[in-house]
Amino acid sequence: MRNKFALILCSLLAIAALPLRAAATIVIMNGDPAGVGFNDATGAAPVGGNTGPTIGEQRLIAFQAAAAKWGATLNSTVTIRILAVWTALPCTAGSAVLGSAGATEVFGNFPGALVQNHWFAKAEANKLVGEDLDPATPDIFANFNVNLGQANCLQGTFFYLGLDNNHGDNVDLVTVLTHEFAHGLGFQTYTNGSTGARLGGLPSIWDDFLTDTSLGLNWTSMTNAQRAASAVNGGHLVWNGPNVNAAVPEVLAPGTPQLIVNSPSSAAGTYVVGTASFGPPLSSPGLNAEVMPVVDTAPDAGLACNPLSALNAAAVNGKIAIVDRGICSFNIKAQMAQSAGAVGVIIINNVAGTPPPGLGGTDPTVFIPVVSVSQADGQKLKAALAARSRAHSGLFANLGVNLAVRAGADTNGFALMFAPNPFAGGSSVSHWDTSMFPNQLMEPNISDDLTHEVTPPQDMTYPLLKDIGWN
Amino acid sequence: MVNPKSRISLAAAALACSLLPAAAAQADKVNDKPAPQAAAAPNGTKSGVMVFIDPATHKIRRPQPGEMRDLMRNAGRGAAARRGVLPPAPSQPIFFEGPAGSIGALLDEGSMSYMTVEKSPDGKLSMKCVESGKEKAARVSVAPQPAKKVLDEK
Repeated sequence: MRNKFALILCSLLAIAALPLRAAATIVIMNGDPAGVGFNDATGAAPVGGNTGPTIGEQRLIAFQAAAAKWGATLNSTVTIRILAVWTALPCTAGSAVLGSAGATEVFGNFPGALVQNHWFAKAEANKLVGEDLDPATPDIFANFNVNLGQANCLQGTFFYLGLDNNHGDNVDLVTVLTHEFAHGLGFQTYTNGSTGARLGGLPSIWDDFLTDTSLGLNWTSMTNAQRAASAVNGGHLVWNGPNVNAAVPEVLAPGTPQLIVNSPSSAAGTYVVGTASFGPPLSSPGLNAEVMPVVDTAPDAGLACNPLSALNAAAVNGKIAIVDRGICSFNIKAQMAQSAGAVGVIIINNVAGTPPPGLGGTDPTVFIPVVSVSQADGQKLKAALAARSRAHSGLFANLGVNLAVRAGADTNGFALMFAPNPFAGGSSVSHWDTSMFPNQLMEPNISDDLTHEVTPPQDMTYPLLKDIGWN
Repeated sequence: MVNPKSRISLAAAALACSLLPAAAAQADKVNDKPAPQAAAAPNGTKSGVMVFIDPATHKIRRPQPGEMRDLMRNAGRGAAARRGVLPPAPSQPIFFEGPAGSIGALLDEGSMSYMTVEKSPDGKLSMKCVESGKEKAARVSVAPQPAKKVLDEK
C-alpha cells in the first residue's frame, strides 16, 4: 500500500509540482482530480499580481507564493513537500471552515536531532537529518474549501487570490496559507494542552521553550496536571527562546493597556483590560480618576443602555463609570456614560473567562476611553465598590498604557502565549497571545492588517522557528 | 535514501485489540436484522474504533459494505485518501520505528490546524485558527444563520 502511495506521489511530483528554489525548496503537490480545485479550468482575470489564466492556476500560484515565502526564509537541503487539495468543507451562509493544514508525521531520535526523546515536525526532522525520513509521505497536508463564496458557503465572500494582500472584504489566501504552513513546519506542540498528556509520552521540541512564569518551569519539566493548568494561565505562559527574546523589542510596540487600581487595598493591583475599537486610544500617563458604578438594573447591575437616571448620572459625573456587558452595544453604553459626564468606561464581561474581550464597533461620537475587564476582575471591583456613598467610592484607578511593557510581552520581556480560560483547543498554547501589537501572523485570529512578512521587524514567526531548530 | 521503515502501530493496535472483540461479538448478535441506516460515532473520543448503531435496537451492528470507507471520506484527509495520494488520517496517532533508529508517529486529525471564518451581520469577517477536526467542523456546519451574536454587538 505504501509503495502505491509512493508511486502516485512521485507521479504528482513529476506532473504537478512546481519547485521554488530558495534557501529551501518547497513544492506544492497538486492532489486534485481533473476539473477540481487546482485543476478548475474556469477562466480568471489577473488579480493582484496573480496572472494565472484559470481559477485553478491562480489557486496554485497563491499556494506557491506562500510556499515561496517560507522557502526564501528557511534553510533545508531536503525538499519540503506540501500535498494540497481543495474539497467541500463545512459551511453555512455565515461561517465556514476555510481549510486545514498540519504536519503529516513527527519524528524523534533521528541522527542530528537537537535533543533526544522529543518530537519534531517531519519537515524539520528531514532538515536536521539531511534526508527524507519517509519519502512516501508528504511533509504537510493542506485541505482548503473549494466552495467558499458559493451559495450557503459564506456566499459572496471569496478567497482573494491576489499576491498583493489587497484583499478588501475577502479572505487573503496567501496570509491564511502562510499561517497554516507555519503550523505544518512545527509552529505547534503535539502535547495535549487540555490534559497535559504528551504524544506517546514524549515532549515536543516546542515544550522546551513554552514556559510558565508562575511555576518557573517549561512544559517539558512539568507534570500533566501542571501543563493543563499552565495552558489556561494567561499572562504567565510565555515563550522563552533566544531568538524570540531578541526579537520582542524589535517587533512589539511599547505599551500595554492596563487598569491600575491604587486604592482601596482590597482591590489594588494591575488588571488586564480589553481595548475598544472606538473612542480614543489609551495613553500614558493615562487617566487618573475615581471609579463609580452605574446601578440601573437589579440586583446591583448596571447596563447603561438608556440615559442614566439623575442619581446614576451624578454618581459617574467626572468619574470612570463601571457598567455591565449585555443587552445593548458597547458604544451605546459608552455614549450613555459619556452623556452623564463620565470620563472613562469600564465594561465588565458577563461571561467567565480570560482574557477580557476586545470591544468592537465604531462610533466617532465617543471621546472617552473605554475598556473591558474579565467577569472575575469585575466582581472584585464591584466588591470594593460596595461600600460607597452616592458620590464617592474611594476606588481610585489609572486607566492607561504602561510603556515599560511591550504589547504582547510580560513585564520581563518574554513573548506571551495564547492561554485563555477556558482552554481553546487548537488555539491555546500554539499561538501568540492576542494582545500582541503589531498584530502577528501566528496569533489565533487572522487580522486584516497583517503583512505577508514572517521575519522581524514585522513578525516573530521565523524567530520562533529558529528557536526550535530551523535556520 | 534511507531504509524503508517498518511501521508498527503501538497504541492504536493495543486499543483496537482490546476493544474490537467485544464490539464484534455484539455485532454478531444483531447481524440477523440489517439496519436501514447507520448512525456512526467514529472517533469523537479517539477510541480508534468505528461503531455502527442500529437505530431501531440501539445496539452495535456490523457495518454495511462501504460504510467504513464512507466514514473515512468525511475525515479531513478523506478526499486525498480516497484518491490514493495520502494515507487516511488515523483516528489516533500511529507510532512506528523510523530509519536510523528514529521513532515516528503518523498524526491523527487532532494535530491538524483548522482556520474558520465567521461573518458578522455588518459583514465583518472574523478568522480564527481553532480546534481540530470534526467537533469544530460540526459546530460550523450546524451554526445558525447570521443570527449569531458577535462581540461587536454587546
